[in-house]
Amino acid sequence: MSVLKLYLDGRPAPLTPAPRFQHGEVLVPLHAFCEVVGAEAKALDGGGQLAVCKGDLCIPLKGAETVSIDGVTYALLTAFGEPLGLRWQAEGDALRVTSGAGGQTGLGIGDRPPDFTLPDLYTGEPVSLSDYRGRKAVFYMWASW
Amino acid sequence: MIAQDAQGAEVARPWVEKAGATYRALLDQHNVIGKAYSLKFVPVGILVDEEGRLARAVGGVDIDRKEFRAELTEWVTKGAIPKAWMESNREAAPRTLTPAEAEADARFQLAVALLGQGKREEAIAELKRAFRLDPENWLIRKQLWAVEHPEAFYSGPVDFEWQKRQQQQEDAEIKR
Repeated sequence: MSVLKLYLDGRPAPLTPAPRFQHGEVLVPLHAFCEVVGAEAKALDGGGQLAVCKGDLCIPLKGAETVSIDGVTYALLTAFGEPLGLRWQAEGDALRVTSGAGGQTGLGIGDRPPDFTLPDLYTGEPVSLSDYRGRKAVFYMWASW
Repeated sequence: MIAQDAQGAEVARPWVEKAGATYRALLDQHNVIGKAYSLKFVPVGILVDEEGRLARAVGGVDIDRKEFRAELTEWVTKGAIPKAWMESNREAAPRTLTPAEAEADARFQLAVALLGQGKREEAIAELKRAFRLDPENWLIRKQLWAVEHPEAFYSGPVDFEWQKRQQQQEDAEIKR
């Protein structure tokens, strides 16, 4: 288990208690994390199920997705992060989260774009984006029309 | 360079040769990139560093702009991301397709198969249906034009005046 320092949209956003990386998964302190990303953790249906809500969007959390540690509710970030428009990466002791705030959705600097494999136009040999690790690569998507 | 061409390698190759390109050319006949990156137009640049991380937001690029070529040189030789790229619009957002987009893509794929079988008229019919389902998708729209009106694309330089007139005509018909 390791404790993670949260960075939100490139800026440090220390949380107490801190997020954790445990058994290959990112766990965040639910209420503190929601507050910092502009969401709200609340109980649906008059106290039944926990959910993460942002505006009209509510993402219910299953029992297996939350855990109580030292009296604090933690949740798996994978349980609600994507529908909230979050992207994240745990690297070393940092949890880097981008929130898509200010309309900044889309693939930006520092992101890893989806891999793809396409045939060489002449030989048909399959070529992947990931083949170019170790050097800079520019892919110019173009057409004759 | 990635050639987006539903009509395949034979149609794309002459353009690469005319350009005298010395770099590698790939073929995207099935709109793999368009779908993976949610892109509906070209030209687009995907620029990655040694660790596979983007140096610039995935979006439109104009290789003819000397400023862009200067930025590219700066990045390649110095490894520093040019300021202009920090401000680039993020136009690509990988996401699931809407049902209409998914059907448009299915019809596009069918059109590619029909073109491979030499069934041009049927391919055009499918491309038309695909365009109606995803009218914002220029990868579909322009390829429909190129297949249905090859004279505006392959008998000399691409006729952009023709494209403007065609677009106006089609947009007027859609509104009716």
